[in-house]
Amino acid sequence: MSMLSRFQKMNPKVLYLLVLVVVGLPLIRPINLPIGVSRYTELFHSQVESLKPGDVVLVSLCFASAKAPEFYPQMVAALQHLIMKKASMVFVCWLPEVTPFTGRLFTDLSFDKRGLKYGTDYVDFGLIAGTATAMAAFARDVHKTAPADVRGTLVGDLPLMAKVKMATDFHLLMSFISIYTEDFIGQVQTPYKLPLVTGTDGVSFAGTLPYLASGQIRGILNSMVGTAEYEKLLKMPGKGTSYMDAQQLSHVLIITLIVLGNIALASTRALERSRRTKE
Amino acid sequence: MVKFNLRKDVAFAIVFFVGVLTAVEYFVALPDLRRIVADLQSWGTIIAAFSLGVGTINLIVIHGRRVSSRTQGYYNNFVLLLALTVTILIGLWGTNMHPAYQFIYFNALVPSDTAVWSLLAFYIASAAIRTMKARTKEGVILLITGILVLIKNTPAMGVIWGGFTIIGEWLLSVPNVAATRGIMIASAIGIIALGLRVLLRQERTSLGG
Amino acid sequence: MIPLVPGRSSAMIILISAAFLIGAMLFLSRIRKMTPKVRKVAGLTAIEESIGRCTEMGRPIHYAVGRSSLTGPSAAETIAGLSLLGHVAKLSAQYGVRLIFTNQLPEVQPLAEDIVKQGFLAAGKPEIYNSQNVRFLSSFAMAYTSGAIGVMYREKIAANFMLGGWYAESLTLAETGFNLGAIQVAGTTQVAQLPFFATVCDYVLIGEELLAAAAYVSEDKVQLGSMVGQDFVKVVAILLIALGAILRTLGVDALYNLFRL
Repeated sequence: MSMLSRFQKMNPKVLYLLVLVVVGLPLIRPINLPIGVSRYTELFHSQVESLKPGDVVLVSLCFASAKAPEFYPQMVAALQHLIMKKASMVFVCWLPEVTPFTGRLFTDLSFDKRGLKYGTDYVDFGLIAGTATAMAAFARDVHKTAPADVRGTLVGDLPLMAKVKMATDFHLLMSFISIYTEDFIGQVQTPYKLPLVTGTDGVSFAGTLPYLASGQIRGILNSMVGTAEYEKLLKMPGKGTSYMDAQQLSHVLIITLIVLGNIALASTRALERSRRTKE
Repeated sequence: MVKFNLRKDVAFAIVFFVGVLTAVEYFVALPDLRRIVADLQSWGTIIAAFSLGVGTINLIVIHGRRVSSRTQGYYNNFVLLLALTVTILIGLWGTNMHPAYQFIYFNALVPSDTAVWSLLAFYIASAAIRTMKARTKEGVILLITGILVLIKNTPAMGVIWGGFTIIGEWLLSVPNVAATRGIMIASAIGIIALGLRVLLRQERTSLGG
Repeated sequence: MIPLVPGRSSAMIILISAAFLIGAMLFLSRIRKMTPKVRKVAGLTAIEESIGRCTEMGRPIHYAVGRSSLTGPSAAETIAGLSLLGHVAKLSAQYGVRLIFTNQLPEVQPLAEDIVKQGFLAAGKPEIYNSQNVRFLSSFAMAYTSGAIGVMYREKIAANFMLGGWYAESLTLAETGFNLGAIQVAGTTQVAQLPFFATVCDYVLIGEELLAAAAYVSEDKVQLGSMVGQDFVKVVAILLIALGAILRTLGVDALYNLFRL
């Protein structure tokens, strides 16, 4: 069997092993491949950069726990920027499985050590069940929909919430959403015409672009690539940057194998054609 | 004589009343209507919270049935029920911010979820290599655009030649947006149709009809 | 004079017009003044062929409807998937093929059990219904995926039907079916998942084709009438988009401004 035919009939397990090596090695020994910055990340960055101290940002979480490796570094980078801009933050979760992440964010980003006071600078409402209905209700009347925060404190006792009664009191919507994007845009962003920036996973990115084109979304972080680009803009390399070597090399591997596969296919076809001509 | 089914007819009346009111309120600026719909929506969030509990009860019933009837692999169902009970008890006792709850969540649930999700890396690689072959005209288009978008998502290639980024962004911003918009518009029309069928009581699978 | 919310008048007119068109077609087909015809989608023929293949190989069918909730905006996909489940259940009973349904939505479980039972009854073989073959695995996507992969490998399925609302778990399941050599028919309206299905599955029902296939097999006049109404609305939308694009290119903003009212 020629090299080309062997390549075409490659055992999938060999391919899986190649992917494992190409993804695993750079995580152990980083290569530091260059990272550019895309237009989508620049738009996200400039929207956050335009915030003034004291502006209130609604941070929404709505993703499956399986996508934590894509979304968590995004949230870390974005919240770092919000802290730098001295923005106030209101956290809301639209899915039950994502609620523990807010606590972890506060710990990992050392909210308390950085002088951020709970209730004044940031508030966590935890889960508000009901997706589209919950989003619409929250946007219409925050206090009625979320009468208490995740710690049980009544919303009226939270100083930050004195100036936030409905969606129009937020200066920016920042969402980390993999599903129910259209619900959030339809129930919160569009009716109140609020600026929205969003972090997405790689699978949802292409489907989110129409909202960017129509102006409903002002900036997008495209999964790990977007996180790395954002960290570059902030000059704060983190998990996004460290994962990019693995991602980039895996892309190069796939592109190489696709090209080789097509060369093999073309050569095999040419050989068969010449064999048939000879006969 | 019209037969009156208390469960179905009352349920439909509620669906119709709430549906029409919510739809009208979106377009009409009447403060009283706004107040009524705000109340209805907050009731909706309370009902949704209860439905999470109903989902859990469903799980307990389905898996409990399998354990009690000793169906094949029932020990898996038993482990699920045990994990469910432990997690619920810890959550009720210490909320989801408790270290024990966080330990279970971040050291059991998230890693197992992400491990299964990460299988996608291998499957995408094998699917892409297998399918992106220049066998037909459409196949060639898929091959070229697929490679260009893959290159666009490899920033190092963009640093080598800026043209890759421009082409990739054009592919994503123009043909992709056009196609996605078409599907989104069709999907939105489908949602209008579904909503209409439910409001007109023409949708058989809703309300157990 | 009814006060309207500013900026939503055009949306209201569009909604009322679309609802009127769809409602009119629905009503006409319900009172049998119109017999809507929908072309047979290629995927439907593939479903029947696949079941025949399973009979020859003596291996079961795997069927799943994904995880669009029945109470959410994407409920139409799950409803379509359940309609097709009834069709597949009837055919599988006729051909004597085992049908395994895996589920990740608790609210769908009793519906699915009933639909499969009714399908077997319609084929005249209610005695072969086994509730163990209608399996709720988990409402967590990845837990469901692991369970479904296990079922597919252990049962050595010969056909895999994934018709409904699919999200993250779609490619993993489709690749598993491919590795098993199963013939695969998939359909969803979720844009992000269509490329995965298109690359891995043998037949794909793209977006509205899934809903059309379900309407076709159910022969429900209401669903068919609704589909025809939707098609009329789509034609109007296409004409407006084309007109709007031409006008804006020529620098005429009248239509654009009209839609911003």
